[in-house]
Order: sequence, then structure tokens, then C-alpha cells
Amino acid sequence: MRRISRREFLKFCSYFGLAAVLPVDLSGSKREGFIRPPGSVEEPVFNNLCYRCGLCFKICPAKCLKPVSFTDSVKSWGSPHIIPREAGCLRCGSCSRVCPSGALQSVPPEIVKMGTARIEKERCLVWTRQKECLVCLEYCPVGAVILDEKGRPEVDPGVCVGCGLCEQNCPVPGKKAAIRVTALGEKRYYLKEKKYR
Amino acid sequence: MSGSVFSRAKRKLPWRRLTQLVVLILFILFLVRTKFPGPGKLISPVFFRLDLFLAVTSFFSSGYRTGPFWPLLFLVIAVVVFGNFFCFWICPVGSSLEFAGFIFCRRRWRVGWKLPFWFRYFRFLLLGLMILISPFSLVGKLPYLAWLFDPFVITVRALVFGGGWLVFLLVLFVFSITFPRGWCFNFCPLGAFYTLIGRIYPKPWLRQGKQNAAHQSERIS
Repeated sequence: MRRISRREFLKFCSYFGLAAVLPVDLSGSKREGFIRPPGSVEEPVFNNLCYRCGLCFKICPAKCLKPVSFTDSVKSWGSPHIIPREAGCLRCGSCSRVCPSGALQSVPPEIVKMGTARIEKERCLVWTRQKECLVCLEYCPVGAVILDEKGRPEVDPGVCVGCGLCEQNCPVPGKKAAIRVTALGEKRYYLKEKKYR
Repeated sequence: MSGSVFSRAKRKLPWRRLTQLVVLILFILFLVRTKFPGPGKLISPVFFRLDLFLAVTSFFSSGYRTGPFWPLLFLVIAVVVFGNFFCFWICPVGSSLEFAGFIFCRRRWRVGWKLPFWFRYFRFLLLGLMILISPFSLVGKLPYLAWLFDPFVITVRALVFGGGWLVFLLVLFVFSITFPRGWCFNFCPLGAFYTLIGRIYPKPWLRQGKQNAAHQSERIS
């Protein structure tokens, strides 16, 4: 039997390595639908336009911006997103003022919409235990949390801006609040049309 | 030849050091002042607006270029006309590495060997690779990776986030103390870009200077 030389072995290893690596989709992400800061451009452009300079993280007064981790998404790695449970957005627009790349555009705070809050009724203290808790109602800056005829909180998706202050201050213990914000219904800035919609 | 060139460089050294110091202070000041309610739209990210490497790669990978680009245009024209002065006069990261070497470097810290000369081509390789792969982020599924190698991004992220980024920056500093401006000469893609642009066409006044220097050296020999 012919013995394999070191050179041949290394060549084989490199081919094998290439064959293993090439089909891997580097953009593959475990998480989708990040809640982006106000005035973000549309998602595929955002990932490629953002410099990941870190100035938006630095200036944010609420410290609500967190970098996307490598394990969450390779494509969005290092870019800013909001984790509402940790801190909600004040819609001050500072992040878009310092953004050097244009991935965050200045938009008036009145038209900002980063997502929509939704009440998880099975966790909400009012819905499940009929307790008098209306923290989300108190913290909502736009009055999107309304009460039904029995005094239970509901979210008006048309009014909600997805700032996440309700989720941040929800007294339900644990990582999951009873009111949760998702990127559903978010508005983005479209550079081609120069419109925030 | 080298005598004249070196004497001219030596004459400029105090001015270069002063400029570097001023720019470095401005860089730190801008970073410290980047807090709510924040300075104007142009002032705070001014150093990123001078970053040709990020501007080009992000343009190729996203297809868009936004924001005022006249600071970059002025700088590129100046580099074409005067040669690459960015790295040794303007760049705050290069200045801080140089000052760190100036302050901390002791002969006993230096390793006994030098990096091979071909190592200096690595930064051009990195620059070319990043520019070549950036369109694949636009048309394909490749993530935008150029930011990982940008000196401004590394520095600002290290100062904002700390952790791994700070360790990375410290490694760069130690490397640049051991091999003077090791990062700039061997790895920095931004510096490589400005070096290439600075060589676009031969500058008559620089050529004249070199001829004079050559003439002097001939006379000496």
C-alpha cells in the first residue's frame, strides 16, 4: 500500500476544509427581527451601511442600544439594536445625529415607529390575577396602552411606537415581561425613495 | 541622499508632533463630548468622515453613500497633491501608537529581530481583499466585515465597550511598541489606502527634493 506523503495529506486537508466551509451560509442568523434604533434604513442596507463605529452606543442617554452578538447574527454582528427589557428608547434622535454612515437617518420623533408592543395575557398581573397594576399605562409616552371595559390593559398597535419603556418597567419578574415589543409594524427609512415608511 | 531627506524630516518633526498632539486631543475630546444631548451632526463623527476605507467598502457593500462627503473629498485631494500625510500627521490612532512607543519604549523591550519586509504588503492585501469582497455583501450573502480592521472602529469600540475590544487595542499597542508603528506599517488598511492614493502621480516638488538629495550625496561621495 502506498504511503501518503505529508504534502498530499496537507493538500487533502485543505480541500476537505474548503469543502466544509464553502457551503456555510455566512449570513446565517439564529435571530431575526431586531428592533433597530429610530430612523434606521431598511434592513439589508442597514447591515452593510453601518460602520459599527459605536458612537450611537456612546451617545444614547437611555443606554438602550446593544450590539448584536456574533452568535445571534453574523450579518448584523456589531450593529445596534434595542433590547427593551433592559432599557427602552427615549426617541431623542441622538443616535441618528452622530451616525457617520447614514445607516441612522434623522426623522422627527412624532413619526418614529420601531415596532409594536403586545400584551402576553397569560403573564400579565391584571389579566391573570386581577391585580391593580398599570405600570405599562403609566410609562407609555404616547398613550398606546388603553384599558378595556374591565380595566385590563390593551395595546393600540396604531398608536404604539415600540419604544419599549412599557417592557422595561413591567414588574413581572424574569427576563420575559408581560408586555413585549417586537419589530412587527416597524417603519424604516428607504434611501432610494428618501421616505420613512 | 538620506541625509537631506532626514534633515528635512527632522526639521518638520516638532510641527508634526504638535499637529499629532492637537489631533489626538481633539479625537479624545470629540469622543468624550459624544454624550446626550450631543454636539452637531458633523462635529462628533468627524474622524469617521475622514475614513476612506469604511466609506468605500460600505458604499460597495450597500450601494449607497449618504451624509456630507466633502471632508473626505478635501482629504483625498490633499493626499493626492501632497502625498500620504494622513498617517503621520492626522491619524489619531497612529499618533497614539507613536506616542505610546515614544513614552513606553525602552531598548530592552525591543525584540532582537525585525519583521520581514514583505510583511508590509499584508496591509495592501487586506485592503484589496476587503474591497474585493464588499460587493458580495450587496449581491450575495457575505456579511460586511471591513469594520473589523478599521483603526477608528477598533479604538472607539475599545473605549466604549471595553472587554475584548480593549484587549485587542492593547495588543495593537504592545505590538506597536515592540515594532515601532507595527500596526500602521503592516496591518492598517486605511493607511494602505491613503498610501496608494498618495502615489497616484509623481509630485514634482518631492521629485525635485529627491534629486537635490541625490546630488548632495553624490558630491559627498
